[in-house]
Amino acid sequence: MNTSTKTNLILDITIFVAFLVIASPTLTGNTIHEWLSVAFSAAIITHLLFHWKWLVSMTRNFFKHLFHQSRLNYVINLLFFIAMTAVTLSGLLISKDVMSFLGIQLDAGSNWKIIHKLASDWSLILLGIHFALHWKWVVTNIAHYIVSPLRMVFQPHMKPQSLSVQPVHIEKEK
Amino acid sequence: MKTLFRIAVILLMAAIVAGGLYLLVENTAFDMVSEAEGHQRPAMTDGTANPSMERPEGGEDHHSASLTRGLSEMFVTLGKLAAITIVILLLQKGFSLLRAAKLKAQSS
Ligand code: HEM
Ligand code: HEM
Repeated sequence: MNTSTKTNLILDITIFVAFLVIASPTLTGNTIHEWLSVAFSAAIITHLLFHWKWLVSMTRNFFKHLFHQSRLNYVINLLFFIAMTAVTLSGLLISKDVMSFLGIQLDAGSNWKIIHKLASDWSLILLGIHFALHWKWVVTNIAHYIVSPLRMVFQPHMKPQSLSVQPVHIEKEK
Repeated sequence: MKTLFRIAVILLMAAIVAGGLYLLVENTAFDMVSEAEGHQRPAMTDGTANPSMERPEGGEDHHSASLTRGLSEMFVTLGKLAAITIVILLLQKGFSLLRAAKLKAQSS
């Protein structure tokens, strides 16, 4: 799927905020927690579709280039996928609203509640690592697509300066 | 069509992971709850339990929302995420400095 960086950034910010809200069920109450998590799963599938090429090429080349950052990335992404699946499965099994809405009655053992907490803790840790491994991308694109336009709004007189004239000027002075 | 196929692949992978996990948990005769409570559960689930032992109001109840408790929970999560990110960034920096020092030592 060919997606622009801007679309990726919008989706990434959305799922980041959604994760923060979902990981704080006291903020929303149980019902919103459950339904938001279901929507979040769909957003994660979209996130994976946006990175399909990466997924396919990395899976093919996994055993080449043993110690490369992208390999670490792959392992972290794999663990993240497992943790997110575990948190969604255990969440659905202990669910009070989503499953009863679908007319499904479950009698999940109490282990699943503990697994839900454990998997959500692990997904938090893995999100931190996932985020750090894409730190440069995040900073560059937030600066480009969010900070710069905001600066233009609040300091409109800066506009002409931020055109391509400035870097050329600096280069020449050096 | 291509996208539908990709979604099916992702869902299949998730189903395999979920199925494996389900079988693992359901076939392991291990009760995490009584483990976590130090084997004290029989006393709590005793049929003679006092009916007044209900969940206290305003306790650790996730069913009702609370803005102040919820927001503080969210900021704790944000703090944890920031801490993990900083640790990983520092580790990366440390490794790249080490690698640079090694390369310098090799070339001199
Ligand atoms: C709250 C959840 C998540 C956030 C905020 C997030 C954020 C990001 C960011 C910022 C990037 C790099 C920029 C880009 O979009 O191109 C990225 C890439 C990627 N993410 Fe996520 N992500 C999340 C969850 C996940 C999950 C659960 C998976 C499952 C495996 C995943 C897999 C990937 C993959 C495969 C890539 C591209 C390849 C790479 O460079 O690692 N992400 N994500
Ligand atoms: C991104 C995915 C999710 C995360 C990060 C997450 C996180 C959490 C957390 C931190 C708790 C509080 C646990 C505790 O303190 O004991 C919780 C509780 C709960 N979650 Fe999730 N959750 C997710 C997905 C889901 C899903 C998909 C469902 C169901 C559809 C669900 C249903 C529940 C229920 C019913 C509780 C209350 C359990 C109780 O009464 O103790 N969760 N979740």
